[in-house]
Amino acid sequence: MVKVSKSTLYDRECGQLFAMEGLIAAAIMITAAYLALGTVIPPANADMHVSEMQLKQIGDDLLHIMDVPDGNGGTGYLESVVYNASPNRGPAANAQAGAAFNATFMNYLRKSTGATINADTLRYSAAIYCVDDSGEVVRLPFANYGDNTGRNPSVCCARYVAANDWGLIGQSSSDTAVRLEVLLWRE
Amino acid sequence: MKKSDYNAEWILIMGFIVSLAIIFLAILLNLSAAAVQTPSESVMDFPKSQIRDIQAELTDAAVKSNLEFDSDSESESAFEAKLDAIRKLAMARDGAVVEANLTYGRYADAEYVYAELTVHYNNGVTEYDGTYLLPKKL
Repeated sequence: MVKVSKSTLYDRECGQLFAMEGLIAAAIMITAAYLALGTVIPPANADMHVSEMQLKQIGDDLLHIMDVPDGNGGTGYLESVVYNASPNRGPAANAQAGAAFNATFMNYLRKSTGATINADTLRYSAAIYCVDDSGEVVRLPFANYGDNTGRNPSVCCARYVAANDWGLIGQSSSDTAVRLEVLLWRE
Repeated sequence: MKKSDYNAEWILIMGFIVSLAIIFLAILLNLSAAAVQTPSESVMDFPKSQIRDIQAELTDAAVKSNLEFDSDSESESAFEAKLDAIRKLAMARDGAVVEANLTYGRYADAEYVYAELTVHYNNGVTEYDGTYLLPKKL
């Protein structure tokens, strides 16, 4: 009698152990589900915008080196181009300034070592923003190479340039500053 | 209780330890993803070239005004005109507040007199203030 009751007691304790094993198995499965659902790779900017960052750096650097004077106290190349791009110099001087900017900018943009042939895929579109007599900001289309149909993502690089004797047609001219903006994209 | 049941408890404990280790590694993995995200965003957001550009243009204009300045005439209008244009262009095209102030003859020593230029830039995320001393030989 005593022996039988003892054995049933042992059987019940074994059952408690199985219940605990079930709980632990559940915990492990929940952990696995947490890992599977929680391990998403966030779209880091380091992956998405690397090409855009490089383009923006190229554009900013080009405008920078074009604006820096060659000697002490001189004026930068961009300053002389912008001087001739003023609408009060006349359309012939403006077209010449656009062509000169285009030649220099494309020359810098295509710089390579020469050891390999670079595919000519970089395009740009430039505009000059200035302030008119009434204090409004006016956009003047300047120069471009290629047309953006809207399919290619572009980056905007800008540079403030000192503009001497700058004026819109029919308005007063003054020594001021304009903003040269360049949209840069890959074809 | 039979002896084999005690051995099963060791298996359970090892299961606990392994699952704890897996949770710890998962937390580490999540932290590393966040560590990539934040600095690359900061690099993208910081308007480095804009600040350097505005600083260069305003310093150029201030140096020219400072060299032409003598206390009788009112030649600071050249600097003010450029500052006004840059202020409007930055607000319209960049969404940024640009402010600058030029004080002639702020400091002086035996050889030079210094004009003080303060530049302020704020695009809503990044705020930048700079102070520059522009020397002129007496």
